[in-house]
Amino acid sequence: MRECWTQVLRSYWRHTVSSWMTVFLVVMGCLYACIAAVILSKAPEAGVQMSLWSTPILSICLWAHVREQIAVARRALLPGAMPPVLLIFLLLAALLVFACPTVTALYNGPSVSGLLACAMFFFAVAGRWALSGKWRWLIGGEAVWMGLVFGSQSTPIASFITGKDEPAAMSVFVVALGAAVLAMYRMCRLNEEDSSYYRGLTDLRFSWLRPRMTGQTQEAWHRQKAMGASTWSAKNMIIPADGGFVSRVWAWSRLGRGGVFFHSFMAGSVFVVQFLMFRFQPDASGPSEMILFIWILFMPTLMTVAGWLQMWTFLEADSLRPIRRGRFLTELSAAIAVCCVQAWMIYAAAIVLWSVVFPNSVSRFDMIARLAGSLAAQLFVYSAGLWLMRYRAMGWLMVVYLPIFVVLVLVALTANFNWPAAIIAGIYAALAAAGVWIFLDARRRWMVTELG
Amino acid sequence: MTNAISIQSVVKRFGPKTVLDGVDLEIPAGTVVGLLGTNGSGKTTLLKCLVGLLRPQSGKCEILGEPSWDLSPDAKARIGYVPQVISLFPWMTVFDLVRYTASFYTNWNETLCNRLIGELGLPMLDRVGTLSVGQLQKLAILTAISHEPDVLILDEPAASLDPMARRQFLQLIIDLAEPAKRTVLFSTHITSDLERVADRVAVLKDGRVAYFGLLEELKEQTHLNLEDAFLEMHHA
Repeated sequence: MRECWTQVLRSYWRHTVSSWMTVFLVVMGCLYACIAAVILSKAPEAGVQMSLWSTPILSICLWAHVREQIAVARRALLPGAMPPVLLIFLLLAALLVFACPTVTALYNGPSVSGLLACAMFFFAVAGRWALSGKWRWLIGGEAVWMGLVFGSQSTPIASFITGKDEPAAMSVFVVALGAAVLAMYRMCRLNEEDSSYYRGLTDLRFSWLRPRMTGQTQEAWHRQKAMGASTWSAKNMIIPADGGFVSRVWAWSRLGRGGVFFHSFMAGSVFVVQFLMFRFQPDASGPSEMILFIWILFMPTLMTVAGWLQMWTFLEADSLRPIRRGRFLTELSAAIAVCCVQAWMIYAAAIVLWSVVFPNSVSRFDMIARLAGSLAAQLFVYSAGLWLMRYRAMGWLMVVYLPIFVVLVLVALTANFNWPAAIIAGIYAALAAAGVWIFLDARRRWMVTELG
Repeated sequence: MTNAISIQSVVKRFGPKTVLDGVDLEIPAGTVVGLLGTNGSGKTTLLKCLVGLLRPQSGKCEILGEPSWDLSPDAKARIGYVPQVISLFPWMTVFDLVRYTASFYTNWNETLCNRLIGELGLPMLDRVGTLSVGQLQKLAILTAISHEPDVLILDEPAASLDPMARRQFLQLIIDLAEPAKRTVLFSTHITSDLERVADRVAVLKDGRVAYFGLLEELKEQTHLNLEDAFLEMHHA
């Protein structure tokens, strides 16, 4: 029995069974660091929003992870594997659904039970989704959840988030808790056969690849067969053999064309959420802008680089096509840059649209300055991503991106501290300069990196 | 006769583990060479070093007179490679993938490609991700030889093929190699395949080439068939 505990707990570290734990921990670290930074700045309401929005993302990761831990072939070989999995799950769930909303509520004023109810509601929805693997649970659940969150601002649908209807909040919480427990109970009865026809997450699964030069790279590298939804390419891909640099780069960039749809969806969602929030709470424009700007600072390039990272398995063969190694790497890095710019433009369009819809919310100068700053930050994140891609390990990428993310959030918050514009511009210029330096170093290192 | 492939004192390590420990191999143009070795003997590593996917710590790998690590586009256009583990874009259809691969080459032989598609029975409208391992291997072979390479490097190409497809594939190699005097280097565990196609054999043992020479000479020297000769060499 003791051996079971050791083996299961070691798998959490080594990610041999499920890599969603990496995503969960990294995203949780990013979001909670961000929430803490935002709460301590002059935009505490943004902290509440971020806390609310972190719950769905983290719930999905956690349930996906526990599903992969439970419905797996090794359960048959390791009969005592369930208790440690359950213990870890319960601890993380308690942190996610109880601790974070409670701390946020205590620091920011809204009702504790209201935030707990919102968190538990989505947690239960995510549990049902992970159990069935059907996306309609997530889509429908999110629609209802948004009704709870936004409806609570000004309508009597569920005005519990501000503490006006405590009994209703507690009722939602208790029912959701029961649903989550039921989902967990049913999940415990799954077996290894349920893992084979589970389609809910396979396309989105992250891979944890070992760093190279360990002698085990090949197996790890080739393990990944599925691609993320953000990396589906356009049809009729052709890389013209006799084409010029620009036409070839454009053609390569089509490999990441799925990112356009992904980012359009994300930007649209963030915009709609902020729009609803701002409509019901006109004085919340500050936090709304802040979230949009934090989002554009990091997300376009992060997601683009993460998507391209999954492509390397397949690009190995393409590196042997009739093209010089240096040119191949240059074309690919340029193609990734094109995808990053495309993604950035989508988010920038959402921000410009925001300023058109709410002309008084942000001055034109502020908007242009922040967009320019975010572009400089993209250069930094892009270069760091290229540098890290040599390891072809999603885990490394995420772990190193975490401190970068925190730094960028702090940089974004400098605007809230009323620092002189020259200092803020200087910070962004330094970020861009560091980005250029990292890019050049990354290129030098890529030239001697093995692609096989 | 000039050498199409030249490997000199190649050493390749992964961390503390030395996989190739001073490999020397000179393969004349127009020969078909089978590379034999036990599991983990370094066949795949050697072939990857040869095509430039891996970089040896020391030694020299050359194909068509050019260093493998920095091959020119012209040299690459004359090389075909089928890896052991095949990773092709899973969302593309077979048709799209063939067209995508063809777009890289100015010397792509459309007629040969179409003939092979028919012979190998590839489902052109199916997505690559849905193909079986054997079908995937056929597709990789198709994309590796449709530009009629002068040097063909195959890493266990017939491992996942059914007996019929394997025979078909071996015949294809013979048809492709003999008339045009192409150089073929392929690794395999199946000695009968090797005997059918190869005229030379290289045996890899403990990170070195234990034997390289004509297949018939090996049999004459040892008075054994290839499989027994290989086993004896391995236990020696």
